[in-house]
Amino acid sequence: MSSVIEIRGLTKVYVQDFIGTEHGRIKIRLRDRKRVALEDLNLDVQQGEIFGLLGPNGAGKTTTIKILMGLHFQTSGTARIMGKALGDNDVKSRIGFLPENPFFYDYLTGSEFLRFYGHLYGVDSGTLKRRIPELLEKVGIAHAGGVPLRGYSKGMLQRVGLAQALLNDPKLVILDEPQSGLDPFGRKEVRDLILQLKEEGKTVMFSSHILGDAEMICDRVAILHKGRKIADGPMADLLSTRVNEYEVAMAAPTDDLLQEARKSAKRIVEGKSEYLAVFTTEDSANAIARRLLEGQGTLLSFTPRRESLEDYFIREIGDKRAEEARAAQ
Amino acid sequence: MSKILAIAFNTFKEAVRNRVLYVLLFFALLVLLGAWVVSSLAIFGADKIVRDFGVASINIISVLIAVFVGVGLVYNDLDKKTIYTIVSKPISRWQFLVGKFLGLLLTIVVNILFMTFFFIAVLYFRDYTSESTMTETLMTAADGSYRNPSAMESLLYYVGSLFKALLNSVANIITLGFHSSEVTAGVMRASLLTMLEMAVITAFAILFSSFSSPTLSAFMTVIVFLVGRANEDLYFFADLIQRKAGGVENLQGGQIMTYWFSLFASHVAPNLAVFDQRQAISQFQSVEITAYSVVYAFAYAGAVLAVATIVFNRRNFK
Repeated sequence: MSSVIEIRGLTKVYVQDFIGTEHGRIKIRLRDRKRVALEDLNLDVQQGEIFGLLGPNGAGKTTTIKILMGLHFQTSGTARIMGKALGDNDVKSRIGFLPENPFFYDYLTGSEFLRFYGHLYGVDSGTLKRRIPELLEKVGIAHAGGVPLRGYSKGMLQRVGLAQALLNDPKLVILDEPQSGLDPFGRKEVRDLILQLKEEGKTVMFSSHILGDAEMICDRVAILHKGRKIADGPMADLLSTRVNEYEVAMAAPTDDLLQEARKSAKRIVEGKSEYLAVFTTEDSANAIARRLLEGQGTLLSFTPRRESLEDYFIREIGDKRAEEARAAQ
Repeated sequence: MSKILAIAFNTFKEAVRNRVLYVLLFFALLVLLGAWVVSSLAIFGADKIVRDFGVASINIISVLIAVFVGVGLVYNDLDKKTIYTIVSKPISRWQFLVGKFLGLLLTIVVNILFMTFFFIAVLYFRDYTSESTMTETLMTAADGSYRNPSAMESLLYYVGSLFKALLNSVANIITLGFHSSEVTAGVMRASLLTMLEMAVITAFAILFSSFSSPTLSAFMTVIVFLVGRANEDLYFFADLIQRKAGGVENLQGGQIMTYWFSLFASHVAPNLAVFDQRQAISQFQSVEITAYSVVYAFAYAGAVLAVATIVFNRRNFK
């Protein structure tokens, strides 16, 4: 497999000038403050995979994508898409891109909007006439093709945004926070759409902080924190297959058993007559489950829980933050 | 090229759906009608006044459209991040700017045509309904004897004149002024010159709005227009200061700054006097569109757009 996106040592430093007053005097300081948004990032996205760019707010996800799309210029380092330098129009014509919280010309109707973007891609009118209704259908807003965008809801705008990213039948699709602002249905549809794109043989790179979604569909992920990459690799390698928690759900346990569970469990969530006990070792969970089966209550479920991406995230970034806090002291 | 045109037509659509445009246009029509009213107050030279007034109004309103509609166009795309989805398409940044420029210019050209149409109609109608023409026509109708026309006759005459005026205006616009009677000679050509002038002003509006806020851009564009109009005067002014002091080396204090600033401004700013034919119109001479003015407009606009592209190419879009 070949790399579709190849990022080497990418660094972005934002420099801000200072113009203002200090001690009652007007001061102008050029290049006053520097903020490192991205530091020495190395990344490869392979042909045909779904790649997730993850991290908390301000991690550098959007900066990376903006540099890839030629909206910002890197301070140092290189990035190549499909083997060519950034900004190559030939490459751009094979990329579909949806920015975060996109805003489009709201005086255009959905179809007009797609036709305009189609022309920018250089797609001919005949093809557009066929493809626009198809795409509107695909993203689930076929009914709204004649409505001006100012009458669209946020979810519909996100969908029409996705449609414009697919107008040119791209080889590579880059989506910045495609799920922000969508309800659970919308998020599922976006997930399905991304999987469908993969089936069509396209490469998809998207950024997200909605980890559950990323976990479900990504082949590989990279995790950024404060402009640095702290982990990357196939999903399976990052998350240990090790089970780290056992959940026992029970109804109407005897007082005796409840006492016992309270002692051995990491935590217990109490409902009206149902309880959920979370254990860190298999043995203690087993002991409680066995007593339930022996008649001291009803065993509702027994669930070994694997580490989720979210757990991983919190652990890794939590560690980083603790380190930073120590360093600050 | 098709990509530039796609952006241009979309920009036109955007401008046409901007309410500010209609406010300005409504104002323009009022002013053009006002030209008629003002001229009827004049004791002599009414024809000159109505033309000066109309041609100047079309000019000023065009500048206002360029400024108030134009400066927002590029800025809005940057501010609302629409630019993200455009620049990421297989299109270069200069193509985006040129598309915006052409779209805005198209908007202004269409508006100038509309205002000119209206003004020419006003001129014709004014001429048909002037006391002397009316008396002559209605008198002939009544076998050479003087009498007051009946209300019906007057009404029919007015309506007929209105239609004739409108038809003549249409013919004027379609033939770009070649179908010109005495009444409208020069007005159409003056409007064509205004279009050329607007190409320069529009390029500046695009340049400024590619790196600063709409308010500041509007301010700077107006400054360029004013300095451009006063260009020759500034040059003569600098020359005058220098000659009064007896040579550049004898300049003192504030004079030095005034001299160099005037000289600098007159060289950097466009010389918009090239497009100004008020004098010709006032004196009933024919308005000439010279090859020089055409080349000047396109070369200047091109140069300004080139600078805008250099600025724009280096930008990180927020």
